Amino acid sequence: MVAQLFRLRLAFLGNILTGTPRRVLGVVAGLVVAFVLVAIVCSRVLELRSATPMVARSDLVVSGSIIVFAFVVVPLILQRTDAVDPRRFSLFGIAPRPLALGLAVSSLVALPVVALILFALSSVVAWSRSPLETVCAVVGGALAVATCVLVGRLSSAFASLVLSTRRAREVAGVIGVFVLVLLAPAVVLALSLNWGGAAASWSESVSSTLGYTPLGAAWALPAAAAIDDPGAAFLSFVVAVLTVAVLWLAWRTLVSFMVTSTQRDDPSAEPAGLGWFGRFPSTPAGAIAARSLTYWSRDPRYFVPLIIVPIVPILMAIPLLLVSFPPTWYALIPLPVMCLFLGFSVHNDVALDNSAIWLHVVSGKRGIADRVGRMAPVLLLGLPLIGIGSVVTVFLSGNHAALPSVLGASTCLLFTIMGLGSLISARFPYGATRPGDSPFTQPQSIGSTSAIVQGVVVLGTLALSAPSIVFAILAETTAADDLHWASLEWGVGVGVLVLVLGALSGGAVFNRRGPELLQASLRS
Amino acid sequence: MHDRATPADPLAAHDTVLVLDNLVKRFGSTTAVDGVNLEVLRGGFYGIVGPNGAGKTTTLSMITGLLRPDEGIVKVNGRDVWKDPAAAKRSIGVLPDKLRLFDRLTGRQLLHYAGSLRGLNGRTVRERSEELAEAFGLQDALGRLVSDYSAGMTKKVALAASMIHSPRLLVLDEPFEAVDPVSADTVTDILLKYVAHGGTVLLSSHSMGMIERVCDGVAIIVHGVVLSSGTVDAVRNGSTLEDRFLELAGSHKAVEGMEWLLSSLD
Repeated sequence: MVAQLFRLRLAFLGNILTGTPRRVLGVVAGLVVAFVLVAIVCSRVLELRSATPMVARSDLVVSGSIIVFAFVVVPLILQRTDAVDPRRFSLFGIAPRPLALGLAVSSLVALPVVALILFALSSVVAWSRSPLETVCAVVGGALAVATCVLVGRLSSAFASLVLSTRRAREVAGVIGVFVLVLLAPAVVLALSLNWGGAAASWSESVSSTLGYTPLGAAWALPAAAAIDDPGAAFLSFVVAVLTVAVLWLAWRTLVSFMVTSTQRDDPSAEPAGLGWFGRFPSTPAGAIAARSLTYWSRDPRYFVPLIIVPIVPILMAIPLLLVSFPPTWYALIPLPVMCLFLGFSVHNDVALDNSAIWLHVVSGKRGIADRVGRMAPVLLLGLPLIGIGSVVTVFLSGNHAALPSVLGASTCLLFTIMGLGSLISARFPYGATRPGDSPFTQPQSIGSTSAIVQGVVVLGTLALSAPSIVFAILAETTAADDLHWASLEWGVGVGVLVLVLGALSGGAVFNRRGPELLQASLRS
Repeated sequence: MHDRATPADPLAAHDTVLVLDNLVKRFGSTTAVDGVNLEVLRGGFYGIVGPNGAGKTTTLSMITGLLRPDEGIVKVNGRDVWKDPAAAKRSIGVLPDKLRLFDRLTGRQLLHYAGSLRGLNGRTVRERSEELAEAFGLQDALGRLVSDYSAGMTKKVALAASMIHSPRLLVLDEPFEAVDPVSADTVTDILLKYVAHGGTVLLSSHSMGMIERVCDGVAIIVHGVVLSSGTVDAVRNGSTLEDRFLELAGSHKAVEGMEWLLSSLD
C-alpha cells in the first residue's frame, strides 16, 4: 500500500515537468529559485555548528516553529485541490488505517517536505557536537518531519472538506489575507518591543517558550541537550511525541471519516451572476456594501478620484525634499496622508447616487445600513493599506520605534474622516458629477456648500486626530518611546469612536432627512 | 382574469388601504398640490389622471415618503407615512417617474438589491427575482447592465423591483410610459392578478383608454385640486373618460396667431 502510494507521488513529481515548453520553463525556473533558497537556508543552518548553543537554539527553534506554522497555514490559504485527497481513494476499498499511513508516508516525496527534510538534516549536522546531541537531533528532526507531514495533510484535507463551497473558500481566503495583513504590523510591533539591548535575551525567551509548544518542541530537543538542561529536553521530547501521536490519531480519524462520508458540494448554494452581491450577506447593509463595491469597480466617478491617493505623497515629497527635510522623516508622512485622502472619498457619496437614492428612502429606515455599507470599500482598501503600509513605512524610515505612531495616526485619520464624512454627507449633501458624466466634469451646481463642507470635514478630521499626531511628533522629536504608544492609543480610540458615532448619527440623519436628500439630488 | 375583489362593506375602516387628508405641497409661491383628499379601498385599481404639471407626481411622491408634504396626512393601512415611516413603507411598493435607478447594476443585481434593502433573505430574493423576470419577460436581460436597457425595459425592471417585497399597495407613477403595447398588456395582467388577490394599485397615467379599461376608481386632478373622483362610471358620467377629462381640465383654446406656420402650408 505504502509503496504504491509512494509510486503515485513520484509519478506526480515527474509530471510537473510535462506540458507546454513554456510551462516546463516556468516550473524549472521555480524549482531553481526554490532550490537556491533552500540551499541558502541550509548553509546558514550548517554554519550554526560553530555558533554558541544559545544562539543556535534561538535560530533553529524560531525558524523551525515558523516552518511548522507554514505547514498549517499555507494549505488553508492556497486551497488548491488536493491531489491525494483521501476521498479519491474511497472507491478502492482500502482500510482507513493503511490508507492514512500510506498517504502520510508517501508525502515525504512532496517538494515542500523534501525541503523540510533538507532543513532537518542540516539541523542534525549543526547539532552533531557530541554523540548525545546527535542522537537527540536525529530524534528531534524525525519528530519535526512527522509533525509537519501530518499537520500538512490534516490542513489540506480540512481545507478541501470544510471549505468545499465557493463561498466558504472566498471567506476563508479573505480572512486569511486580512489576518496576514494585520499580523505583519503586529509581528514588527512585537519585535520592536525589546528592540534595544535586550534583543538577545528576548529571542532566547521566545525560543525557550516555543520549545514547549507543539510548534517548536521537536526542534528544541537537541538544543536543550546541548545546553545541558535534561529537564527541558525531556519535556520537549514528551510534547513533541504527544503532538505527533495526537496528529496521527486526528489524521486517521479524518481519513476514515472522509472515505466513508458522502458529502458533496451543493451547487445550488452558489448564486450565479450576482457579483459582489453573492459574496455579501443579503442584509440591507450587506447589499449596500456590495452595491458600493460594484460601483467603485464599474463607475469611473469612483475610481478615477482614487488615483490621487498614491500621487499626493509624491507631490508632497518634492517641496519638502527641496528644503532638505530629512528623507527618513518624510518616509513617515505618506501613509497618514494617503489614509486621509482615501477616507475623504465617502464624504459626498450620497450625491454620487443622484436621484437613485429614492430606493433607499422608500425602503424604510435604512440609514445605518446605508452609512455602514458605503464604508465597506474604503475599509476594504484602507485596512490592508494601513497593515502593509505601516510596515513598509517603518522599514523605509529605518525607524521601528515609530510603528505605533504610524499605526495610530493613520488609523485615526482614516476612521475619523470616514465617521465625519458619514454624518456630513447625510446632513449637507452638495452636487456631484452626475451618473454617466465624465469623472473630470464639474457638477452643475456646487455653490459655496461644497467648499464649506469639504473644509469642515478635513479640518474637523485634523482637529480630532490632533492628539495622535501631536504625540507622534513629540515622540519623534524627543525620542520618548512612551509617546509613540500614547499616539497609538489616542489614534485608535478617537478613530473608532468617531467612526461609530458618525455611522450612528449619520444613519439617524439619513432616516430623518431622506426626502430632503432626494430633493437635493434632484437640484444638482 | 378581470374579476375584481369588491369589498363587502366599503366604509369599514380596515378596508381602506390609503387615505389622503387635505394634502398640500407648495414650491415657493406656487401651490403644486392644494388640499387633496382621497380614499382608496383594498383591492382597488385606482387611477389618477391630469394634465401635465397638475401635481400627480407630487401627490404620489408624498404618498410614498419621497416628498415631505407641507400640510395634511397620508395613511397607508392606518399608519401615518410621515410619522411612522418604517412601518408604513413596508407595505408600499414604489415606481417613481423620472428618478434614476442604480443603473450600473445588472438587472439581476438591481432586483437583488431592492429585495435585500427590503429585508428579504438571499434565497427568497433569488427565487422572487427569477419569477419576476419571467413574468415581465426580462430573463434574457438579467445579466446586462440596466443602463443598457431600453426605456421600456428599464420601466419593467423597476416595476419588478417595486413588487419584490410583496407590498399591499403599489404606487406607480406612469407605469406604461415608453412600454410597448404587448408589454403593457403583460404588466396589466400582472397588476389585475395582484388586485384580484387583495392587492391595491394606485397609478397615474396619460392614457384614458387604459384607465377606463382596467381601473375601477379614478381621480381627475387639475392644478393640484381633485376635480372629480369616484368609480370610473361615476366620474365619466355617461360620456367617455377622455371627454369628461377635457371638459374638467378646460378644453384646449382655439389656436390663435402662428399665421406664419399656417401660411407656409399654402
